[in-house]
Amino acid sequence: MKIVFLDAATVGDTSLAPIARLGELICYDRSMPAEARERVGDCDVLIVNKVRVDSDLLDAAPALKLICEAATGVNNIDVEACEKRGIPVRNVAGYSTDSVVQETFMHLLSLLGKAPYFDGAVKSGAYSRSGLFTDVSHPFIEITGKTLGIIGMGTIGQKVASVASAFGMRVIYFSTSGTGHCKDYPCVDLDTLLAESDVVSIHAPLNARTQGLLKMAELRKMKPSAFLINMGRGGIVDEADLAAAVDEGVIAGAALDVFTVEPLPLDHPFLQVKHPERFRFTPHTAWASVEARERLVAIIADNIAKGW
Amino acid sequence: MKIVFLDALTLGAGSFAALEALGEFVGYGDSTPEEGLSRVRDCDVLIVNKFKVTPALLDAAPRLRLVCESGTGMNNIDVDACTQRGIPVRNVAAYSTATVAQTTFMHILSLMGDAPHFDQAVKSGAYSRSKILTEVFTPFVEAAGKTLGIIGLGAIGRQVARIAQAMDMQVIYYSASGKNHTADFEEVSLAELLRRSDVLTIHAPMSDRTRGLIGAEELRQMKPTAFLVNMGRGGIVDEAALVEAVDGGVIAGAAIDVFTKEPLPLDHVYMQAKHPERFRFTPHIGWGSEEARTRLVEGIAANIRAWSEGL
Repeated sequence: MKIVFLDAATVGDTSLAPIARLGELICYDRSMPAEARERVGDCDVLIVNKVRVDSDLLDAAPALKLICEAATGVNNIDVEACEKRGIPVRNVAGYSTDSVVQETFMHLLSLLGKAPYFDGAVKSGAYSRSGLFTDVSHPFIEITGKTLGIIGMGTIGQKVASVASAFGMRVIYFSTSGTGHCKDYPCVDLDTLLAESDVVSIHAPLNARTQGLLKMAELRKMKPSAFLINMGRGGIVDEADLAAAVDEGVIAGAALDVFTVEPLPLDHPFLQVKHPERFRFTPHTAWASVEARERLVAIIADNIAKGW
Repeated sequence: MKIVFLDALTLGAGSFAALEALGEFVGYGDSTPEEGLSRVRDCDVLIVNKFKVTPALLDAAPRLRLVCESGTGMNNIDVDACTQRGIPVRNVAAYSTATVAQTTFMHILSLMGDAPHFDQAVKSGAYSRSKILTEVFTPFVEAAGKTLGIIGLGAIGRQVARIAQAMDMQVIYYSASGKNHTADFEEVSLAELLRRSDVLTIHAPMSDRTRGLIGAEELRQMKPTAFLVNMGRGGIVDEAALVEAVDGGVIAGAAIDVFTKEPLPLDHVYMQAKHPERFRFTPHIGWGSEEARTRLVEGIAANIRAWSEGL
């Protein structure tokens, strides 16, 4: 079995041994479209993360029997074209839930607790020079009793909800699928969620219902003291509107792990804000703990071992 | 009733209405020892946070009938001297539990997730210039399945334990006082706690049993991948040994909210660390949410009311 991984660099230095054991594994750090077409000629199994799999690429891979997405999202794969050719597409779900939940709270607590300000106050010597045993110049918000509004109550959203509950937060959610299947927390309409939340956290996929869901008009419905966290997909929030909203004090701050164009362009509004201290970023790495990457590789191997 | 607060600046800006409602309230931002002696001359109730209440101060306050600590720790008050003079001393407990637990996790997740590194990778443009995402990868550690070791399972320790469990961490604890036993979490010896913990977090008060509890030898017993968080009192951890351990990779990093000397001296070892990026600091504000401050002021007022009603 010949297995080709077109953009293996996306999993970092995680060992691919579980996959290599199954056949002949050829890895490329990354592949431009023309390179990709040359590289799939005789492969049985194709593994991709961001590389586009379209009809052109499929036509260049006559021996192809299985496509494995090295992630959950399959936006890079023309699934219909694969179906027409009878090639199954298998993704990996659930491998990064705990990591994404943890990173969500890393951002939430950093925003609420003003972590960089306080860390800087000590490391710069400002605390030392203050003469006061404590720095009370920046009172921060206690999350116990505050409302967390979750947009997208899937596996990740539900885990975020249960950790939030342990912190004593009140949880409400807006169902982006429209099904409102989770009965543990109140399912509300979007306007209610925006009005009542002290923290809005997005854990939805990008689709027709969620594309551009939050623009300036929606951000204005939030409390000026509220924070927005986007762990879903960049396109769910209008990025220019969000940059302006935070700079102008429409909301208090935002944390993002995902962007419409990745990597974030140098001239993007997020890199031009007047108040960078009101933002927290991770470069789409919330999924990428060492443990999650090992699980990802193990499940890709399982997907291949299943056969076709 | 005249109420004097000698170091009210420690509570920052904010309302003292709950105290003003009880009588004549005089709040001094800060007081030198000499100023303190003259300022307590005619007070009935004295409120202090860090200001030292000594026999000399008590002798300068002939009308003094109640001492209120603006906080939980009373290390600044000579309680025996107050008792001898028939002056009750009241502190406020539990006002900051939720906030300290929150700050604890702010530190834990920042350390495990290397938050400043990734935030900077984006804000500096490094991510934008990277050809592949992994150019900005540093390993980050998943909390789920890891072991959180708690020193001091009081109210704050328990809240931290509950949150850790919600994140699927294993919780173990060591009771320095020997008094806190519970079936809810696994109690272990200090040696076992040091050996097994991926995150070790301190929520104990300062006492003869906890002073200098964690020194170079104890740090060496920890995993090289472990993180230490001190939310208890500075003197529980040997500060110089901690810097050496973190800089030398004996442990992976540390977060500190409390210091042997506060504010931290400019020439302190923490300020000389070779790897400041492995440290996270908060300037003793683990307690400092707006809500906790309000509860503290209301707690002091409640102590004064309860005492005056009991007269």
